[in-house]
Amino acid sequence: MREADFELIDRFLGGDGAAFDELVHRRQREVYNLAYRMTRNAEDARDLSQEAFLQVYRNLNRFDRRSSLSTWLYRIVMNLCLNHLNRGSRSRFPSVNEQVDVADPSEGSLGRLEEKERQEALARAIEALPPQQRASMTLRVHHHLPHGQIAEILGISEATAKVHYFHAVQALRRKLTHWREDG
Amino acid sequence: MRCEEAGSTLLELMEEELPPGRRDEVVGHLEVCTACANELSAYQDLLALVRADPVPDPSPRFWEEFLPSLKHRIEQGASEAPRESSSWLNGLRSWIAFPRPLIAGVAVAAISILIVIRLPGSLSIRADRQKAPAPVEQSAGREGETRGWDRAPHTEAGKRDMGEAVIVAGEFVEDASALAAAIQRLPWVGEIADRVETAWVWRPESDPRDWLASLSEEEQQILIDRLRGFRWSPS
Repeated sequence: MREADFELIDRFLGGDGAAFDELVHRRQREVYNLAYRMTRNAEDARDLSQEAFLQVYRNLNRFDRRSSLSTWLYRIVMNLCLNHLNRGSRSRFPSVNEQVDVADPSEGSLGRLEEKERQEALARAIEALPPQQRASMTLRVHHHLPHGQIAEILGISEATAKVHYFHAVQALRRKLTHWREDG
Repeated sequence: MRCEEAGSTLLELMEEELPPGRRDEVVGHLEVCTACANELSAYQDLLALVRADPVPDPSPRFWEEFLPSLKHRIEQGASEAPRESSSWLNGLRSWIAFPRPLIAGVAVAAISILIVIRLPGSLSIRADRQKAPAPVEQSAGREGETRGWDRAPHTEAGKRDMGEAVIVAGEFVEDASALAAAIQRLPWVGEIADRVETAWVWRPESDPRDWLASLSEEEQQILIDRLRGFRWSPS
């Protein structure tokens, strides 16, 4: 992957515009997903992922390849998301362009309703996490990155990245204790 | 091993972060303690739930429009670039053209603004440039790309102070040593380090625009231009 990324970058820097298109196609979903998990808002995720690629386009010639393209790209996305969260994100609402899986009341399934409630409670608990904790947890749980790489992305020490992750999981555990007990 | 002790290591166990001897102790405890085994199981269930938390899939049209929309923004940016550059340069020129004594004055005013609010508790950092860890060279300089105080040493004091994010020059800081490194990166500090000894911190929820009101319009513009360089924007 790393070599393939560098090859794309070389092509782009050599004037092949299609290489950038390919890079975007390869990475757009993971970038969007990361931005969504941080903001939990589809419009914000779209804007931030586009802004991230815009920055990639403008700065690819300055990417020094000491880290992988993923690390560099994630760092851009995370910084944008953290700045965005710091400014105060817009409230969460479903987008017309977004396919939301809503429980169908006609099915009358209590289990399905409970599942929906559980997802919403989880979403609220994640939204309540401090941004750095949310970032560490997202990169660890959903992107399966080691703490060292998370630290590199967030510009913090590895020990701090671990502590953020542990605090995030413990906070969720405290907030969602009743699920398991009720279940 | 007591339950309290085992409980505090469960996440480390799951992350395979425990040294072998310690791991064996915790595993041994879990074999005989139902409560702790249940707690471990609860963490595992929780993480499974988090992993299953879906990202709503945008419509196919969203993805069809993603790249064209991005390209449009790139083209727009290219056509606006000279104006942006000019605006940035004007800001820089006005900063440079500002009389030197006033620069120091505004810098002190700026620092004072940032000094006003300090973190509660023990996070009071002195701008000790000798002790502050050296910032790591950034791989690129544009907004959003890098965070500048990479790999600050993790101290016991830092551990105690963690948990409340603060912003220095528009960047998140969550431990004391990192804060010292971040402060060190403020260009002002070099000019006035001898006169000010305290850390400059503002709360994430605060708005520096409120504090700018005490400055003249010209001073405000200069300060805004400076802050913009630190990835903070009033917009």
